[in-house]
Amino acid sequence: MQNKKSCTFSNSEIQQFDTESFVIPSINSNEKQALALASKLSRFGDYINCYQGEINLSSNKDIITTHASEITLPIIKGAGVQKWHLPKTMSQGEDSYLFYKRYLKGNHGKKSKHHKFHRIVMQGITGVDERFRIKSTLLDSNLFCGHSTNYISMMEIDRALALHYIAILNSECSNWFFKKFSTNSNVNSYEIHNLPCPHGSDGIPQLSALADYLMDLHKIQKSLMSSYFEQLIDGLVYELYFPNEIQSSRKEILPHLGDLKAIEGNMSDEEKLSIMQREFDRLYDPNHLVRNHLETLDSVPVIKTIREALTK
Amino acid sequence: MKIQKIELTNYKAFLGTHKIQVGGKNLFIYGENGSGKSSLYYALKDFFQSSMEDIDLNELENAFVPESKQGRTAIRVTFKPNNEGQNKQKAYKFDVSNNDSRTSNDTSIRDGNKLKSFLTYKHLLGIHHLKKDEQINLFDLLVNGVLKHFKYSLTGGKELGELWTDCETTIAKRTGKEYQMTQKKSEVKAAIKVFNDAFGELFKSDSPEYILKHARPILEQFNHNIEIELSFSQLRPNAEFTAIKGAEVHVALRYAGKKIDKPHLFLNEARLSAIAISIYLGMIKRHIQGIPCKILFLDDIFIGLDISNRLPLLKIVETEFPDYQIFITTYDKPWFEYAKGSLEQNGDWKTLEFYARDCHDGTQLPMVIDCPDLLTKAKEHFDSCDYKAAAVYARSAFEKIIQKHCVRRKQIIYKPRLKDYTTEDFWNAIRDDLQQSVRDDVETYRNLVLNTFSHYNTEKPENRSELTNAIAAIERLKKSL
Repeated sequence: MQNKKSCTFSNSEIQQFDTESFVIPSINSNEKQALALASKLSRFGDYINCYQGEINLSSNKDIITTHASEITLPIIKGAGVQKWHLPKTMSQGEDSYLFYKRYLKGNHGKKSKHHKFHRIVMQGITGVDERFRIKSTLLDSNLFCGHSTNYISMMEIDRALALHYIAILNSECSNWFFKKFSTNSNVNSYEIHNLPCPHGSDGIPQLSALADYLMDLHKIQKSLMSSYFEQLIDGLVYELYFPNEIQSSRKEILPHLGDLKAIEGNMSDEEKLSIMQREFDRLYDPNHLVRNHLETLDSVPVIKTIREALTK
Repeated sequence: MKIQKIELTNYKAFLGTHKIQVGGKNLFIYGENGSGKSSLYYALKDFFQSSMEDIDLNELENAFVPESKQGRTAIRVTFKPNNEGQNKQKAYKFDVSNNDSRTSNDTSIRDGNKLKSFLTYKHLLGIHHLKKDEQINLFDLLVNGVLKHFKYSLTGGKELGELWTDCETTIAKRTGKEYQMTQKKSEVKAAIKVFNDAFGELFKSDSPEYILKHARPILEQFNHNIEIELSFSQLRPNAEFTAIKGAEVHVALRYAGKKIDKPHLFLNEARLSAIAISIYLGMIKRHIQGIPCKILFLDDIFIGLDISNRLPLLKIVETEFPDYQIFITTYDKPWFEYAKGSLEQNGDWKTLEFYARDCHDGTQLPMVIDCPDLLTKAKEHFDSCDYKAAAVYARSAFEKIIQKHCVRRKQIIYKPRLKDYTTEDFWNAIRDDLQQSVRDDVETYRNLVLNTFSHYNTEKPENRSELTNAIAAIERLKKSL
């Protein structure tokens, strides 16, 4: 397929690509087909609301401190959020804490209640040249979000679905789609709403189990195991985005994955690691169909197109 | 899927269209310099690579293509069974305007490209640059040679060679107003981290990607009685961020169970080649194995090996890669003849000879000669009425058959020098074991036809019916042994 740098769109195509803001995507002719296929899916905005972090760090300086105490709760900033985990130290800046009672006294809106629940949190500002612009993970309750983050409240979604969403958000495919519409370093809520969200029961247990593995493994360090599970998530999300293309190329992963044993919060670290190691050993076998399909996934033209676009 | 036929048009050394019949077999090719064997290597490599990357065939066009015929460079490869596993042939053509290997749903060639199983002697050249007067460092040989194209989860979609290039490029960048040292430091650290994570994993003995996991069993088959350990010291920038340190892979060695303190004095070219080849083949073996079209092409890599290492390597590729289609090239004719003898007993192999044929305009063209056995060649010459040539081939076939039989059965009296043996020695060693009719026929036609026709003799013109009987006698001899 000849790849042309210039590309033309009809009005209806633009409406289909970005249903809310009608942003013209920056794509080449090969990517247009991939974008058209992905755009047929429902969007995150159909299922969830994404909000900017509730604490404006500039205008609320009087209720923010750098010292933790009994009358404060931590504020998560964008620099403190990474894919799959909240690192112990932020990439820049210092830790901040909120005099939360004072904050709650003056704020009664919907967002002021979100800290009571778990959330999906993501960086609100990321470098335009970064391969992954969306970096999300789970956030416990009783933590506040600075305005340099975005979040999705888990008031109305269960943990498995939240993990499923995190897996999709952190995937190679979602990040490619996001980058096609983003023109600056902000990760805006409306851009998250516009991301395709393959919905349905397909892949939820598997993706959520893998997201759980990765959040646990990142507490240790990046390894071959975590890298492979991440690759597996990318593969599964491609399968949800482009089911027909994957099927016709016989590169399905989901039907061959088997039951991924979930890790539970009450398990010891050793138990969790042992489960993950067993699943890794099983799926990393050079003869296992999952690994074979995963490692040859860019033989599928639409995936090759996306991966090439991400490396540019 | 095995390759049945390769057709090259105006590609590199191949001016015009050349068809190479492979017949789904492993191929062992002898070729003199300039005969086109490396062009075949690159043609197949480009064919697979073009399924995923853009390759400009015009750049690879033979330099002597007339202007009116330019732009028709093509590589056409026919496979059987086809990608559906059906016992039918399927041809893929790659030319300047079309590439069948990119057809959407048929991923077989694109999957095959993943193996990167094309090894040329050039990948082993690093061996010759190793300094023997200090500790041996295999870094360059591995990263810029045998593992250059290696890719896996931790290389993040890039090849190992590219990750090293990234490190070299970032450290070489000049800082100034537009590109400040803080940014450079961060980029260098990031590039080095990716490389260290990806390459370092290969040296962890508990990792499934451990470099020696698959290499060791292969190395053992070279019978060197050596055990190796490899260690990588991890890259790091120097204090000024102007150079990279730690580009070192060191070897610890045990020979016959004993630690060798100075491995650089012990590791000669053949042993180093064996280690490098074992690592390369080991890395192919660690790859996913569900690919329908698996090619292993070894171009002239026997150069650095003596005969005691060449035969084990031949056995290794046969036993360790039974579901691969293997291509081996060599420019060493005695080795080719020697190996051919052993491969001919195995129906999975086919041999070809490439020659550079002189053309009237002063250029040379590759000439591919299918190498049937000597008796078949005798029959071909017989069919084209070249009786003298037929007789010479039949006589050579007779000599080869009895020599090989004697060697196999160790059925010959000892003589200190090979050249002391005559055909009579071999014949006398076996003649009494043969059926009388076979023995009588051979003795009759050997004297009457084979020996006589092989010389210039106007008194005894070549007789067609006598020659027919002579060839039939040699065939019966072959069957009876």
